[in-house]
Amino acid sequence: MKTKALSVIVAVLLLASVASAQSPNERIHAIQKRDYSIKNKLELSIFAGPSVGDVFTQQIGAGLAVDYHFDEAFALELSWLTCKAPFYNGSEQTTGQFEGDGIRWGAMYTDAYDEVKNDAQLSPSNADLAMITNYVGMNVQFSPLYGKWALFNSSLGHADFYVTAGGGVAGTEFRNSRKLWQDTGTYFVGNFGLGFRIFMARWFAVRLEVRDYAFAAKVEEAAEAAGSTGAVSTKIRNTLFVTLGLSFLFLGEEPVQIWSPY
Amino acid sequence: MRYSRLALTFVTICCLMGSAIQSAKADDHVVVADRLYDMAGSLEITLTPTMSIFDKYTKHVAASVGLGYYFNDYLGIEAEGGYAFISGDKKLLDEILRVGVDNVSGIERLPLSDLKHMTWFASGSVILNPLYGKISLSAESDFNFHFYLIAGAGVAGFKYSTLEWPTASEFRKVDKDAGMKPTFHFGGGIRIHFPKGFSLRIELRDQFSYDEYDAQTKSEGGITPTEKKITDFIHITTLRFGVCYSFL
Repeated sequence: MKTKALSVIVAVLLLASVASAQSPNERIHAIQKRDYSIKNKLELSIFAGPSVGDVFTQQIGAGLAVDYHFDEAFALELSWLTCKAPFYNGSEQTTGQFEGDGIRWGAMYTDAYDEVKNDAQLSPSNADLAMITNYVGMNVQFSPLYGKWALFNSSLGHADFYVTAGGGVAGTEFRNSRKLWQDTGTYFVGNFGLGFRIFMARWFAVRLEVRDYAFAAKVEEAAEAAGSTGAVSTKIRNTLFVTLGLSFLFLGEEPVQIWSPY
Repeated sequence: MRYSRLALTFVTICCLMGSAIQSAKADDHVVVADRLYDMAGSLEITLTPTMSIFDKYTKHVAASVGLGYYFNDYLGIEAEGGYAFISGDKKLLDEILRVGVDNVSGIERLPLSDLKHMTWFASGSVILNPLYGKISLSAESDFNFHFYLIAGAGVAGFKYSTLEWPTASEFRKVDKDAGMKPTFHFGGGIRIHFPKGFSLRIELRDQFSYDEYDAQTKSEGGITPTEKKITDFIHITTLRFGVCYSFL
């Protein structure tokens, strides 16, 4: 009986060792000839793009991201998004109120804001106007989809599609009724997004991503600001950035080429 | 915001095109082999739930039915009609009206653009499928897809909110008919193929229409509203999920 049990264990161990020795690339995948692998790769990305969809504010964000890909599906990312020069607010006009549009990349109010203020004599709440200045955070990235496509059946592209979610901290500010920038505090910011990574070479990819940054803004206008009511307004602010990035991939392993019907 | 929308569309198209025009590898004589799905000669019916995104002050949830025909794998046409089950103002408009109610008291037609919401539409489109591809889900199952661009024109019915003032500080919103207008649209999406003639279309589309609007405005501290003409393009950007069935 003991011998039988021992033989079973040995057989299982042998099979397990054979299975573990088999490269994952030797499995029959749904899409074969995967030319690009991200497993164990370190990815350094630079990215930039505008915020879209917000009624009253518009920003341009740029940043850096470092991703480590544990396997083809999961990665951990550290990222920094900046919409303003860090550690400098501009020239201070009154306590806590700054001038300096030049150090804010594309941060402005939209035509809809001017229309509401000037034509309708109305005003959005201050919390509707809070904008992210600098964000630092960590994300988990999940890439379940890998694809190939042909343009007019003549040339080939490879990409993987991913979803990302995470959190971090961000500084925020808004431009008050004196047209001066006013710090509105540091918040925990949650974000989620999706995107795709188009492989141009094994060490280089282009990333297009849509990511929403959400935080609970609580804004009190400085009492000394002209026309200020000193009112406090709160709101969940969502800022949706569409970014285009360039990614450089290091380390990792080359994919094994095998024959496939695809 | 309009520039951002255009930039988003432009960047998406450039990105997809740019990556796709890289040369095929020497060993890939057939670019994507064993294509399971071809649109040539396909006559299909599409049922599409739609919701608007990026609206300033309005919201839409609609459904449409379309009939399309594809001359070859790359080019098709489609006729479509839809009705908006939910078509009205967003909470944001009420919020800013409540805060500044004294400043707009007595105004019937607000001097804001993009106030008009679509109630129904009928349109014709041309569809271009430049990309065909395959994607795998966790390397276990594969999906075949077409990436497509769509553009066209049609007509749509619009309504907008006017204000009635029972008292000087209390308003009531009343929907008014803004008539039928010609509309144009463009967009892009992905069609994921399933067996037995079914496919799913996920699409982003911007539908726009020229609008002239006789609004009213008050100067700061003014009492009597004065007339103001607003000319603008109404933009409605929609996210659409179409379930398609191909007969041929």
